[in-house]
Amino acid sequence: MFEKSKTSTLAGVLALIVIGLVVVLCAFPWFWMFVSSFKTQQDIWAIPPNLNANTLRNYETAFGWWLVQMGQLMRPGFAFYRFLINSLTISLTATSVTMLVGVPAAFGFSRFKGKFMADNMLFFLILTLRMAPGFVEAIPIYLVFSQSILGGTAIPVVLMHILFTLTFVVWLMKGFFDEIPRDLDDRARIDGCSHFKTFRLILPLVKPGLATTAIFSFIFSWNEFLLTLLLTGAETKSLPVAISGLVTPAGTYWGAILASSVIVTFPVLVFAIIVQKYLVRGLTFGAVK
Amino acid sequence: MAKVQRLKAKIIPWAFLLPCLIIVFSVGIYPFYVMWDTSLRNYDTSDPLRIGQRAFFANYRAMLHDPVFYDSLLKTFTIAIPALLIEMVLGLILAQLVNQRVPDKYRKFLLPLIIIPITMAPICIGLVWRYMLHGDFGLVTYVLNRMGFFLEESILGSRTWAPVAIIMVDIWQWTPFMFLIFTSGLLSLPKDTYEAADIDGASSWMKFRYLTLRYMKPLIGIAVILRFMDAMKLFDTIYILTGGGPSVATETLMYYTYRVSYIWWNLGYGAALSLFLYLVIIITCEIFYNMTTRRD
Repeated sequence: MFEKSKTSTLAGVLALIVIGLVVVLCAFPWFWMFVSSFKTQQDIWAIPPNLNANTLRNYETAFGWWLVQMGQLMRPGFAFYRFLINSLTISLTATSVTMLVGVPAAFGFSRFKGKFMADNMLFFLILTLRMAPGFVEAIPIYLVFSQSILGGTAIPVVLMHILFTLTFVVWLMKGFFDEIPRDLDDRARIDGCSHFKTFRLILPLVKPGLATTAIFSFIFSWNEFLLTLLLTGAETKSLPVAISGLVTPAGTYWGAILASSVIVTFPVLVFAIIVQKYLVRGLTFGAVK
Repeated sequence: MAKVQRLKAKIIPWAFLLPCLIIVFSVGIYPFYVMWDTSLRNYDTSDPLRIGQRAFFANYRAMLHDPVFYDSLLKTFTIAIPALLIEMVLGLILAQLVNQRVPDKYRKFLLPLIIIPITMAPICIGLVWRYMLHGDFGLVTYVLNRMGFFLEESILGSRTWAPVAIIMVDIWQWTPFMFLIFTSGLLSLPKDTYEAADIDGASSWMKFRYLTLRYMKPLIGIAVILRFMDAMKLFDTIYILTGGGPSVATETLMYYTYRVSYIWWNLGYGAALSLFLYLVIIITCEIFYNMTTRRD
């Protein structure tokens, strides 16, 4: 396919320009956010826009070091560390529980095909859960938990994240397990291993799959907004919800927003680059290999 | 003894699934029942004495007579469908271009830049675009002004342009996703079929129309289904960029449900609306699925 570009140089150059343009368009808002997060309040709104990235003040505001000095200017609710820890707690708990629960289930769906009553139906049932608008699950969970002592904790939102990433973990991991030849299981079974022992033997073989799946569930939970908005309170907010709280009727704290957005998006980008080999698979629930 | 063995063989597979099923049923299925029940009750705060009482299908009847509901449903489609179509076409063109024109060794430098929009938290996407679309000092407004376009209102404050802005941001966010899926599809096309087509003298358009598109059909189907179900549920960027406004210009069904349930606290009506949206998504995905996986 590649020889064609030599025959028509003009078309080749044109195509490269288009590709370059698209790449710039994709990357630019992040770049602009990154640069602007180092600007002073004046430079953030300067006309014409400039590239004077020369202050760390926005990061200091975000992290709350200036909390006292800024006095009224700083919204007292924005205690960055606490929300960062909330975000980490929610994402890590949700990810580990989903992996613990979802990976054996994926193994089950992969290895015992036909052993369950209507196993396809069960499998699709799990997918249709993913199609539900967040409210369908969130309102009942809210109603149930707001009455109990667990109402003010992060447990409802963690449960919702577990549910929504579970679909994903089961679908993705089933694909990875399907790739391990069945002969291995059979041989282990003949050697007298129980099903659980076999599972433990197969598990190290899907290590890249496990890492990919865990990273994707983490990213999902880390970025998720609607459910977290509905189910967390002032104490349990995650970082994205807290950032959206900086848009207030009294004004928007753009410096802190830009700085904390950079902090929120950066780890995800790094993670995504690590798993880029499996990116397509992860994004499509393993439906595409 | 043999009996015990057989029983064990039947039970053990379920043991692997059990924890997953417990969560799916308790957190996933049970809320559906609660939701259905809620949708049959009266939660209208203007009628405080009857809150929580059964009001047989009153919410569904109200839905049918609610002009705002029809309006928001229409807006959901006018935002989701154009965004989806444009993302698909752009993603396909971009994948085709990169696949044909960019040598393998350079692709790994392109990828991290192209995937930036996918990795960003939707809330940050909304905020950075809100910053760039600011009516007086935003970068986009500045560029438009320099190019000689002057809008009377800000982009996000205009009834005509706010929905367009939402669609554009969605396109920016999800075209890379389409690009990734289609790239993986293009890489797995059978080369010898194309060589045979070359020998037969097929034009590149014919090869694209009759080979590439046909091979990619199931893949396109999956991409459309996954995108469609998220596009119908689009919330985060609307919440940050316009908050459903100006007035109700960008109030999709999802946003209307949010307003009904969490601003007006009419949980019964909100439940009816979200169950309806869920039904629409499931049915449409089912149709897409059958259309794209059908053999022809």
